[in-house]
Amino acid sequence: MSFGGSCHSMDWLTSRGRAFLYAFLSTSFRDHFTLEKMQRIMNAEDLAILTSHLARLDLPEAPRVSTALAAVTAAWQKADAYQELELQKAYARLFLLPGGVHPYESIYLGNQNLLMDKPWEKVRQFYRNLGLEKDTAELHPEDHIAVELGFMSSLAYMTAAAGKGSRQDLLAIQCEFLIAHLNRWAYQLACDIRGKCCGEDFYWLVSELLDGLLTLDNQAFGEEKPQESNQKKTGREKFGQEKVKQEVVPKGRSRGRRRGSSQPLPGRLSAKDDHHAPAAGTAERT
Amino acid sequence: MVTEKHTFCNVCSANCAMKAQIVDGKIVAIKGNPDDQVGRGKLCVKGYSAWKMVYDPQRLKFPMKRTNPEKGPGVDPGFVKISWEEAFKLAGDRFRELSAKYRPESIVVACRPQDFAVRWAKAMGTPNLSRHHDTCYTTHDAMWRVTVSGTARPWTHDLENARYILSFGWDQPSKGKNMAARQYVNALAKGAKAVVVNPLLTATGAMANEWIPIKPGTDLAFILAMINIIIEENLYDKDYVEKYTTGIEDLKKAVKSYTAEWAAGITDVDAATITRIAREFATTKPAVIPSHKRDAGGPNYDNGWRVAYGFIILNALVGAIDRPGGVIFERNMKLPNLDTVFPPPEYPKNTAGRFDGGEKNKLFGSTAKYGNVVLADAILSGKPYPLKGLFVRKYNVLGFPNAPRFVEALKKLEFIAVADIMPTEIVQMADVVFPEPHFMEVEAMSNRTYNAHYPQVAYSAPVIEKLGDYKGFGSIVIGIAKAMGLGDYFPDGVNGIRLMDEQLKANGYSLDQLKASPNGLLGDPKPFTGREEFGTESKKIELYSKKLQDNGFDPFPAWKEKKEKPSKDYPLYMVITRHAAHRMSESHNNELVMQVAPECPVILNTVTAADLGIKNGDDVWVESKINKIKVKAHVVPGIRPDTVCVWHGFGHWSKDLPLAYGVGGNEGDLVYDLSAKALADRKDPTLSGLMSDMCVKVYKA
Repeated sequence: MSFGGSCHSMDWLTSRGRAFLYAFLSTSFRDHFTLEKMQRIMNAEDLAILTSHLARLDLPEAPRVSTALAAVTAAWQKADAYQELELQKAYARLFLLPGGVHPYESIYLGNQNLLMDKPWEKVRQFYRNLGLEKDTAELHPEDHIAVELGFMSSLAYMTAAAGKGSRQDLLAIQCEFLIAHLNRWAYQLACDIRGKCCGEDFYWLVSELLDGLLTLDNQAFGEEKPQESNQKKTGREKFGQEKVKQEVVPKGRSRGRRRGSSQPLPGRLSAKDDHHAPAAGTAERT
Repeated sequence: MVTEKHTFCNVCSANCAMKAQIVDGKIVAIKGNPDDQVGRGKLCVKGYSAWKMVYDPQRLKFPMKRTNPEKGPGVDPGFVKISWEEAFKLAGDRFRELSAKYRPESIVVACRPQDFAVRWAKAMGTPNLSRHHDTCYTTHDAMWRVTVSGTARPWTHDLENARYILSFGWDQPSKGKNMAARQYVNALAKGAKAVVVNPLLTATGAMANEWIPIKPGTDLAFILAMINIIIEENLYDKDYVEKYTTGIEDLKKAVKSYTAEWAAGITDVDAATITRIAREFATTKPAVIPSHKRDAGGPNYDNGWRVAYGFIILNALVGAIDRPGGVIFERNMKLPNLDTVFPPPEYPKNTAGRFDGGEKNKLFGSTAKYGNVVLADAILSGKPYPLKGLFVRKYNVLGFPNAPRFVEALKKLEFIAVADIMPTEIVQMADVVFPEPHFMEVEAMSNRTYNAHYPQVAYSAPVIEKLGDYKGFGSIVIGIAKAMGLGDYFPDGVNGIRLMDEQLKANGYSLDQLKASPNGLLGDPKPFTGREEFGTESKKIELYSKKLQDNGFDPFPAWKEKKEKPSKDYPLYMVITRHAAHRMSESHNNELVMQVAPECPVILNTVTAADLGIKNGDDVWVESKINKIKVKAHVVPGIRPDTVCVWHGFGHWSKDLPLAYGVGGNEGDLVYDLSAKALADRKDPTLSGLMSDMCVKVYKA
């Protein structure tokens, strides 16, 4: 199977801008922001290239991603010390304390409302099939949204740097991960985050960007955006949390293993904050 | 592949040894360790459900600091994540500033006894270690220390070899204490007779041969009459009393007036029953009166220390102290403490007394197992001196008497640091939060204490990798101390692992040996030999204590009424217990436990409820002189009509505990705290609180 039927799709799937967006979102969910970290990550050159790329992209979701990115960029550009503190409080409230969201696949797709539930096993196995283990320095578990997005970011950077021959295998892995994991819960996570913020909040914008990026990727891969349907109750529903509104099973794609996904990946995969070089976060199994 | 790692349950202090089964880094099952003399291969519901907390997404994950100076229920602390270095520096700087500005004694360290915390407090120069025992069992501990052991109380009961078990509110089988439930049931199966004296019909009482619904707080009268009858009728164990006790003649004279008829008028138990129980207890051997902590019999009434002394006397009269079938001093390893293993530099001198005046009590003062009952008043009154900084480990707000007042006191402090696992109420009041690992994520060792018939230690491996950015409690204390400039007290190499190793080496073992032990335990069964000498100056059990007398206290448990009795406004006695599945704040956000015990009822007698127009399941107010709580009514015939009972541990207001939040009420809100003066005026040699000594009214909500 090949990806990127249109030149726009392939252009997007192999771009560094896409990898940058995954990395940015991974960083956003991994830890709170400091002004210094913002300055380091959101460099003007990368943003300009990405913005220009999105403007040229003939995919339906591109304008929404572009708008969300512009809003996030504007938000950080006007951030001062006060807003830095407010952002840090919002991060703790949203992602560290029980009143927020629990950004773990186990919580969204498991049936016990516990960490390290079966979805976590499946994510870990996905990494392991590629010869990867979580880096010991990574404090979040394998199914934390930051780690999953970091995994996609690393693959996207590798894709951008790869020759035509190996791109298809790398893209097959990303498509499979999107279908088997992110599509199944990250939309709902984004929705839940928006439900706990107001429209001008930084993390509202970030969740909008997450939603947009996943949709854009689905369009580029030729997938349809997941639609709502019936499924058994998840742990978070059983324990009185918000009802899952988004179904996560895409149409027209098998969940079976894709070509290339059981092959060890070359090099190391990143789930960290360095956006220009794959690094730690998940490390190659020895 | 399933691997098995040894650990022990740390939900309660029994520390039943467990085996955790792990598949690929994840706990899949927990079972008891059959070679452990405490659990003997069984666990209680608290132990079996402990793994839920490990994977609870609500657990604290990272160090945090508060950004909102306002504090209290419903106030968002505005926490932000910080690094461990920042957390240590913040706490270290603030405690150092407070120590310099207000003197070292302005800082209170509130936690269970822990060597590293004690060293840190001493290094700071504060005498103020505050502990919960005065809300719990200090009455027992102090009276054993003064009249029998010279140290502490025994924690082992040889119920399985007893023929007669008389419990004054002792209800550990109902409360899920594994070893107590097992022993009690086995004793009954072997034909032992059990008599339960308790205003409430518990599961312990329901299994007993006889339930005696005594009037709350009058157990002392029952006990005094029993002592009198047993001595007057020469039913006591003369060999044991002659050889191992002092003061029988003085005691005989002292209790002469306490007849069964006299006690009947106080206890609501007829004289013939009291007399019969006394005779049965003295003539059925072995007989024993077991006790634990907050039993309904009265460790926390105004006369609680006298009840505790009465238990000792009765057990001694029938030869049940440190003898088969009786109350047994635990045979455990003598583990040297941190200062013995790693001698510290000289501690700073500070002549300031404690905030509760505890050091003035020469009988019990040196143990410092008290303070929490007085802490709120000391902070609010500023007497005897201002308290400004507080470090708390795993003591929740709800565990303090008059919890709302304690919250007001916390608001007055300039700095609060908290070490905990869950975002409880005390965490909501914190300026900086240090997240601790779950016990299944750390390496530890437990010296057998409950049911310790021979020296045995249990090992706990780190069962799984830590799931968050956690540090063990010792490391937290050391980190703060170093940030305060007190690093000389904690040089490199002074840590919990080396301490365990040295403690074991002092007993002829090593930590490596313990780790390599196939069953996770060290220590072999040994035949039991009863003590020939005890820890008092006389080396005997003192039935009539000159030491108490010399210190201005009654030398024997002379009759004294409980403090509060029913009145027109507050016509009902209140007793407290807790559900078998719960253990204070630790279990109330555990989904498995909450399925078993999801509500916090007030238990009312059928007749009383009818008089008050209350039906089973109604929402009702329970109101004492200081506060009221709203709970569900549970209407049963098995409680005295003049008494109600509320379960302990509910009433959480931290919204960060979603399962526990808003469920039931905290009975501690109804309980009085004390000032240091009120504590001194009570002339209680045990410095205990009054956790059970109150009356309430109940009405529909």
